[in-house]
Amino acid sequence: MICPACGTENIQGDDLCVNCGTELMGADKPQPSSSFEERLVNEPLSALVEVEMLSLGPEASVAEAVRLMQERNVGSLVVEQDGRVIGIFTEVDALMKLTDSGSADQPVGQLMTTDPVVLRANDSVAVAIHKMAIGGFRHIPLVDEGRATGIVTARDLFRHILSVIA
Amino acid sequence: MTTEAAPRREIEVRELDRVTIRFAGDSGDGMQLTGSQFTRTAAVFGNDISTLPDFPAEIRAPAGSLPGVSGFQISFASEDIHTPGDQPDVLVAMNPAALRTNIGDLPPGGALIVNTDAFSANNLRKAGYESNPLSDGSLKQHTVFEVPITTLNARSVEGLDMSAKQVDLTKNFFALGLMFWLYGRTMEPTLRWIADRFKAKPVIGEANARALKAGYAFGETTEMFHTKYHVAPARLSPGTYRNITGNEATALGFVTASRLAGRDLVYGSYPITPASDILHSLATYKNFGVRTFQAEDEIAAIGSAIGAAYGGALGLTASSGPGIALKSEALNLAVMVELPLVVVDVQRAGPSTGMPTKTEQADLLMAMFGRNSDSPVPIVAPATPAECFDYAIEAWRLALRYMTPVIYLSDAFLATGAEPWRVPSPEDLPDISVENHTDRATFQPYARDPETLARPWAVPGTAGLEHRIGGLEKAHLTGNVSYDPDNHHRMQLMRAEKVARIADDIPPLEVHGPAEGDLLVLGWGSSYGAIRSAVERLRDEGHSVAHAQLRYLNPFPSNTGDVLKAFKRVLVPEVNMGQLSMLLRSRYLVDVVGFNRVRGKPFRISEIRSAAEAVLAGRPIEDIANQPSEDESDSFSASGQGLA
Amino acid sequence: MEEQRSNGNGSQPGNGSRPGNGSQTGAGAAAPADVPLSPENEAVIKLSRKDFVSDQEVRWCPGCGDYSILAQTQKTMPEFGYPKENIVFISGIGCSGRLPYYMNAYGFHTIHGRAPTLATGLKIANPELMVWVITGDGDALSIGGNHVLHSMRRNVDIKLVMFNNRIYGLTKGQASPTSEMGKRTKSTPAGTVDFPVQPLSVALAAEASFVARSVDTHTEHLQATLERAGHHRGSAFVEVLQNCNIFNDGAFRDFTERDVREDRMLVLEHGKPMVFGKDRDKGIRLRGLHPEIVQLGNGVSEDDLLVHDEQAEDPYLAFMLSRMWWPEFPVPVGVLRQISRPTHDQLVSGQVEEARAQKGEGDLAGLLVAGETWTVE
Repeated sequence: MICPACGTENIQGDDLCVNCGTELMGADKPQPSSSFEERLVNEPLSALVEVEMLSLGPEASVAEAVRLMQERNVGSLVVEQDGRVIGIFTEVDALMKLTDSGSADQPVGQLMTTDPVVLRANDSVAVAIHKMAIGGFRHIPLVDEGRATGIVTARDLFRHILSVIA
Repeated sequence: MTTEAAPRREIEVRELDRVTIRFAGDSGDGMQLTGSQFTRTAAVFGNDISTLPDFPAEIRAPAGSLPGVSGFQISFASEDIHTPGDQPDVLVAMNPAALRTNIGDLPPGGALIVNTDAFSANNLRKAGYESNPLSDGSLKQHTVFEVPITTLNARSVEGLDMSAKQVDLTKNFFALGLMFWLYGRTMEPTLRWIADRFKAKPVIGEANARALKAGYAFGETTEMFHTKYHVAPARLSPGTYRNITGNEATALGFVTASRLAGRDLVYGSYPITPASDILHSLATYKNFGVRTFQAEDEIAAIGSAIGAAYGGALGLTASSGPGIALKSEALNLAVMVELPLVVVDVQRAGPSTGMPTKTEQADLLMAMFGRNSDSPVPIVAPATPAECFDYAIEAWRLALRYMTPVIYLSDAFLATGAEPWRVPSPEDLPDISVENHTDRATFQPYARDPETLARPWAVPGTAGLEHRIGGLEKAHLTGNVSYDPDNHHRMQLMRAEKVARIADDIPPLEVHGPAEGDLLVLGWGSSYGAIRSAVERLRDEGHSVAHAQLRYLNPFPSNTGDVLKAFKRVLVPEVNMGQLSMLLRSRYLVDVVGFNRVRGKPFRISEIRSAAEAVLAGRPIEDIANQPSEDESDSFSASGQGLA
Repeated sequence: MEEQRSNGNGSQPGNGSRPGNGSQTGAGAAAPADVPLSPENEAVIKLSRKDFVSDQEVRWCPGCGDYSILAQTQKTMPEFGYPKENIVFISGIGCSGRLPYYMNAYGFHTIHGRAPTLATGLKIANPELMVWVITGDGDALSIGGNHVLHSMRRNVDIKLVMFNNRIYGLTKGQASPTSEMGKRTKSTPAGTVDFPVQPLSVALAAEASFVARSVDTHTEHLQATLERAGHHRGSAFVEVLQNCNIFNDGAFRDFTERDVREDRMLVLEHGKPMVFGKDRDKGIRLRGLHPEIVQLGNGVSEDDLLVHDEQAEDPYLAFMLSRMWWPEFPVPVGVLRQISRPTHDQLVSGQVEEARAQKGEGDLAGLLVAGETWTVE
């Protein structure tokens, strides 16, 4: 790569410029191509507005879960047991898995999505976007040593992107 | 930038014998460049110097992260110094991550210069800081100088046509300029260097020069600093000097040996930390006839070296611990066929992959015994980076004279540390050449020279000397395959005797200090500097202590036993679990005391001192050896994964 | 059994040998694939087979195929017109490994699997030597597999002769990488479960520039094949089907025996259609991507057959030939491939010469003071 300081051509991967000794270790990593990208890559999820997070145990009924979600006007809640996140129950789960009236009495532990993708509060915004795009879901719980500390939704991300480009 | 004629503040100039500075920052902050420029200038001024660069633990790490911290420690003095310093007197930290990883090594009262511009919330978070150390009182035991380096630097290069990134690359020169002012260095050598290296990009060259001067001027005009320091030149013997690292010296030594022996060097090797740089260096010496070969694995590397030796060239291979382990069978073939070969082990912390970028000297017993059967191999171990040159030549002298493989033990600390080296002129170097055997009438493959017990070197391509060699045991004289029981015993004795006779051909063990006394501190390899300094200080305080450093580990110099017995106690500090001590005890029946710490770091002068004082006072030293160090950081690169 | 004690006499130079004229062949410019290594000097001393016979008593088992290979090798060496002292045999471990002791030439019996590595280093040190690597199916394809791969791809100018007897003979009868599935041996009493590898396919995949096969008892063909390998400049891989009459007798008998070999083996000749059979009445034709056996006559003539091309740059044909095995196909013997590429030692020496041309011969005093220096008065 070309040394950004003195312009000498160096062998790719070299740590120091062979002419002027400038450290190339910072220069040959992939860089964000715009400040927008840079912000998404550098900002942690903790910078997003915290939404009140709902949490239930797995024995709570689906009916109760749905009622809570309606009450608080949120699209998801986290299922925890012994202080650890074991699942997530979202509006999509409700839509797809609730067939007849019997289902609403089941414990939410049976209808939830188990072992959900989780992130930490200091993971970057870009990672959350990536996971949602690949995984096809719109909610990601945030955890700290397995314990839920919040939830990031696609809506939060849209709002954040808007604040960055506006 | 103009300054009004401000009232000159009182600046005290303090004379110091020695200063140790540590530069630490992100790889984008140019700390290696800063450190090496400072080193150059100190050397040109005439100080004795010793350096220890510390590269980031990861190949590439995110900016501002802990594994991305890059450091450079330089110690410069008006006296003869032997180590890059136990702890720095000054820490220059360019960002929070650098501060975090290094602050534990700065002693109370030490000076800290920080680039305040880098202490953003983001960077603090990346470094794992919950609160800003600059304001939360955690640095109160140090003298902190908060300098907005990035801002001041940007200002100094205003008006030049550069991108923001390019401007950022010049800030290390600002930091350097400031340090030059603080330590009374001239900017001339660096300004000349900038002008030369940045010829292709004059705008950047101009910016670097401005940044340097701005840093210097800042020191001069700011109210922050009340003391400057002066370190007088040291008294080095006359000659031409250059800075050299152990690996550079090793490579140069081998090229030189090739010339002195009148044979081409064929170097087979496989990339491994920390030996790869030897391959990189030697690969650029093709116009010296050096042929380098990157083999498919460690065994092919030594195989090609042995094949080259069979063909009459200097066959050389180098690796680190794990690679030497792989080479053991082939090395044993070289022992059996008695061909000259040099195997370099740049030791690192193990076992197995261990800590690839950390130093250790724990392959001694493997070098002595790590082969099947009784397989004696001479071993040399340089003690300083400059000695890496001399012992490269010496290794070849022995290999050629005695027709034997020789193991050359270096380590990661020697390999990357630097010191001034008085450059010899080639005429002053010894002739180490040996003749190939050409006379058919007198040729027998395993006839031995009466003095050295070496067998003749009959190289393919020499008419009339066709013969076969190989790994099977050979009959004395004829070299035919032999299963004769007495022949085998006799050949084993001869091979052992051949190596033992080297003791009469090497210098005696030298003792610094009294010829006899209360305590001898005996080391080998890179512990030289710390032991030497510790013992000198103890002697200054009146203790009856001497220092000796073994460069030949097999055979030991012939006076070694006598030296050991001339002292009441013998202390053997080693960065291993007691390998030289084991050899000394078994050979000389002397109850040496081992001081063994394996922290992946070179010894500190203070550690050796404490151990020596304990032995002199009759206290047990296990406590000192096993006690964790006070520093919080584990080293001045981030704890965490390293390179393989 | 390991060798018995030696007879203890000093090894004498072979009968009738005289010092070679010692001149060197020129190094370097890219040589065509098939150039004799004889020195420029016209007055070449003609050596004979006897010059290569050593005084050591040969101790392979009676009836071992290695005797034949040794004899053909000894017969072949004089054909190159090359000074005896410039020929070197490097072997690994195995019965094949004993061969250097029975040749009156420079020889090096090295460690298991590593002979190609020493050969590579030797060629770098002295490119003028003709280096033969003598190995076996275990030595080359088991422990030595990696080194075969790399010495072939580097085009190191060595002639690697692999004695394939589909067994580990020296250690008394264990399965080897070429042993067939289900083979019962001492180490695999219930039969092997490891699928065997085809050595020539491996050699071709390793980019060897000369690939050939012959048979220990087909003496004329073997000698001719070794001669061609010797003339080749570059990595030459020769598989010799060898019979171990003690631990794996008859491994190839089904197609190598005198009475059936013409019908069951395909002798390859460059530029000729692939015809075989005692009456020369059968041939190989390509159908889609596969070879098929056809009877000549009834509308099928030699014009329909595959024509062998040793020199094709791409090894498609050679690879296909390497897959053909009895009983599905006649077993091909001869040279499958011979192409030309710069050799490893040519390239290494070339870079040294290039560096000398560009930077001048290395100045040691200059090198030592390179970089920043300062002087203390």
